[in-house]
Amino acid sequence: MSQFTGTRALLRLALRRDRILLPAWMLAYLAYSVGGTAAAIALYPTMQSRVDAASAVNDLPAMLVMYGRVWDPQSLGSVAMMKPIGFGGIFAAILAILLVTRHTRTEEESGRLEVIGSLVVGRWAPLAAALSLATGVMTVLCAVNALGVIGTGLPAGSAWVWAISVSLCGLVFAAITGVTAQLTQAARAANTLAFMMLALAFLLRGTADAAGTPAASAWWSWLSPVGWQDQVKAFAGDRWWALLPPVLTIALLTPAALSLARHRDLDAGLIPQRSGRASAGPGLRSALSLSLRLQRGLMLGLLVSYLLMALLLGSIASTANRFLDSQQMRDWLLRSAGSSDPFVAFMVFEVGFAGVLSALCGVILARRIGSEEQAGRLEPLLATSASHRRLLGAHIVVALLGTTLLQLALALGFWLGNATQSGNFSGLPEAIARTIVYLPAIWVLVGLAFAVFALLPGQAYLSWVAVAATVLVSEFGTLLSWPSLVLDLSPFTHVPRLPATPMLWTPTLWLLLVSGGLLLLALARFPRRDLATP
Amino acid sequence: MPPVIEVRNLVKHFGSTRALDGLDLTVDVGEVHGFLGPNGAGKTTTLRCLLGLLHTDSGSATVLGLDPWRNNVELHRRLAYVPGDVALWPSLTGGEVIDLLGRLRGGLDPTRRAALIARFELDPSKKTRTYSKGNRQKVALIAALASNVELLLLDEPTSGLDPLMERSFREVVAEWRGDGRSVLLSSHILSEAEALSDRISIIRAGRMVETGTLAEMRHLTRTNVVAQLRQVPTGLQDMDGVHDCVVTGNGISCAVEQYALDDFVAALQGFGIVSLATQPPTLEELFLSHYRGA
Ligand SMILES: Nc1ncnc2c1ncn2[C@@H]1O[C@H](COP(=O)(O)OP(=O)(O)OP(=O)(O)O)[C@@H](O)[C@H]1O
Ligand SMILES: [Mg+2]
Repeated sequence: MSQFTGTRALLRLALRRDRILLPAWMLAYLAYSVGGTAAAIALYPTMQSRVDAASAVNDLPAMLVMYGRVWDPQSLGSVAMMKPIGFGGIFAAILAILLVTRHTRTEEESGRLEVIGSLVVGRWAPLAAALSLATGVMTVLCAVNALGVIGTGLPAGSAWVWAISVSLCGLVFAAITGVTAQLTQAARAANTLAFMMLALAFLLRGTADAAGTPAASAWWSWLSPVGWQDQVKAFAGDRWWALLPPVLTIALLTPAALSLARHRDLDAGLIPQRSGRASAGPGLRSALSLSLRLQRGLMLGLLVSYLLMALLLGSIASTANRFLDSQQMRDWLLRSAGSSDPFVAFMVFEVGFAGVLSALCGVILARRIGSEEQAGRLEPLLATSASHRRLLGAHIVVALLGTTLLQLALALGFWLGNATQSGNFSGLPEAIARTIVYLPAIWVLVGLAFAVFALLPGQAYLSWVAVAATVLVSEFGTLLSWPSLVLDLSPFTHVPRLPATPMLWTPTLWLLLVSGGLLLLALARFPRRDLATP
Repeated sequence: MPPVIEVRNLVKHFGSTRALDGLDLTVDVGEVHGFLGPNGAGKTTTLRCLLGLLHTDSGSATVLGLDPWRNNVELHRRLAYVPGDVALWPSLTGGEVIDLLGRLRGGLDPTRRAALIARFELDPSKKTRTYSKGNRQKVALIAALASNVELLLLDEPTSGLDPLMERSFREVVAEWRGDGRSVLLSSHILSEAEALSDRISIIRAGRMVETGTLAEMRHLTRTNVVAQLRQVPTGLQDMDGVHDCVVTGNGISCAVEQYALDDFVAALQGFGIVSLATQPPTLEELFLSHYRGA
């Protein structure tokens, strides 16, 4: 047991470090799950309204991929909690992944764990502390989720089974990250691996629902931790036994992570380091080539994921026409997508969803210069003839280029997936126009992230707050009929939804102007502030 | 010739901390200038201000005739900097980092690069993630020393180097400095500063407390005197410029200021000198007295 010595002290340290992050995240989560549900309940007073809302999801493959099937169209909980059921586990998993990496690999990479490792602390203590922290957070989340949902008047048993399934999904990913953190040396790589598993799990669940029947998903949903959360069918039968797979997985993965941790050295991964070039190639000669080099791994991973995701969604899109049967459906589509053609509506939904995702990726690319500064790696660069503007400009170029490539990959994937299914290979330019038109909105968030870096280097979280607010507005804004003043705050509200609506140049130019202004502001102000030191 | 670095009354605050409190510093062309001071004295802050990485609150700084804040890029082409905490890109190899920094500075001399890598026994094909602290330090040093610049700013450049490498470093700097090239060397290693520097500045709490050649500094300090006398000495403790007096029987030991030596020895003669030993202060004492604020 001595290898666990010190776990408690490390756990206290972690709680102390995250004393603001955790409550803030918990509140945001409750706003999404409980707040969203309370508001949604009011929207579905009659049985007919529930059945209509459910069929808007169940009859459209795009919606099935995103939210999963509404298993019981007559159950108020099943309909009102469509989004917390669809995304609850994923949001919990994102926090779990970030928490576990933050308290294991990031600490190790920064050298802080070395100090701790020399104290009376067992080899398993850091990992055990991180996993305990995740367990504690997920337990609290489970309780507040369940009590909050019960407070909205929904049945208690179903609320509990949902809350437990959500927290278990988070814990499965905590355990997965416990493993990936042992495999790679870099925290960034450990995070990337875990997030790729999460994306895979989401796609497995999504496609299994789209390919399944009204009674059951296709079998491969059972391969996915996100699928398990869906399979408990909360508010639609409450299959408690479906909580078993995640429990078993956690019981298997945790000892595996601990045993990997035991058999490796401090600061080493299980994937060994190779030697590289003894001198730099001719390409590595500018601030731009360096930032391209630093971000190319992440970019490649994102591009491949985007292409796969878009191929998949594109090939489902051609089946969309099958499902159009009722007038209500047409009305609903017209209201929420701007067109009653199911194929067009599908495109609008998916492209809009992917657009917000691209904004998130863009902010991740933009934040890189901030983490370089925190690590002290801007100092040697700025002491050369690379100027502040050139350095920041290089990162701006990478973020703008990266988001453009992502949107192009999206268009290409949609087009190719749809064309191979339907045999109709025309329409690539239109597909590109549909995704490219989102770039100005994406760049507003990217520009904001750079402006925060230049003006408020200590307040990096503001860029994430902006992304989170955008997600909330695009998820709930129209559904809950928020005031247009709030909706207008999200740049995505102003994007013309091609091809449902015609191209609108005025809002597009405004978005470009705002993003350009933010970027210029960043470029103007960064050279005027002190460089932060680690 | 105007000095390479001229700092006048420089003030820099971090919030309420006054990191630099009216600092003056002059480094002449062609000299190696030792820059010493206790932890937190403001050495690194000074170097960052000289690079234009920090904005100063008041006072003036000129480096190579340029304003570091306004002409930072132009200035950086003509100098090289080795930070105190060398942070490198973990996924690049040492060789790639050396080339990258060299190219961004405006080119580096390939033969010097090869010679320095051999001299410091660095394996440039390893990822910097796998380097030891000393090896990371070597990467930054080689990148700086292989470039064609007029001024080196070094912040504790030998921290982490083994004694053999430290010696190589001294030799390389000694060779490098010819042709009117100058070095500002912040260090905690007195023997290093002593061996390399033409002049030395000591700062404490963001202020210059002493500057000059080592010989000049020695003059400013006290001489330890130990004497055996025929009679018990009296009244010597109270003389101006005499400190730390310990009288044991007929013996006395004390520290005497330069200016008081003449009077003190004359006073000793009044008690009849049996034996007399004097010791110039060691450099260490000199620094300790300044560091402590004596
Ligand atoms: N970015 C910063 N923010 C706040 N305070 C700072 C910052 N950088 C330095 N300081 C403060 O300024 C003072 C001078 O620090 P500096 O790093 O220049 O000392 P130093 O002489 O280099 O010390 P050492 O010998 O330990 O390297 C210290 O009190 C330090 O705490
Ligand atoms: Mg320092």
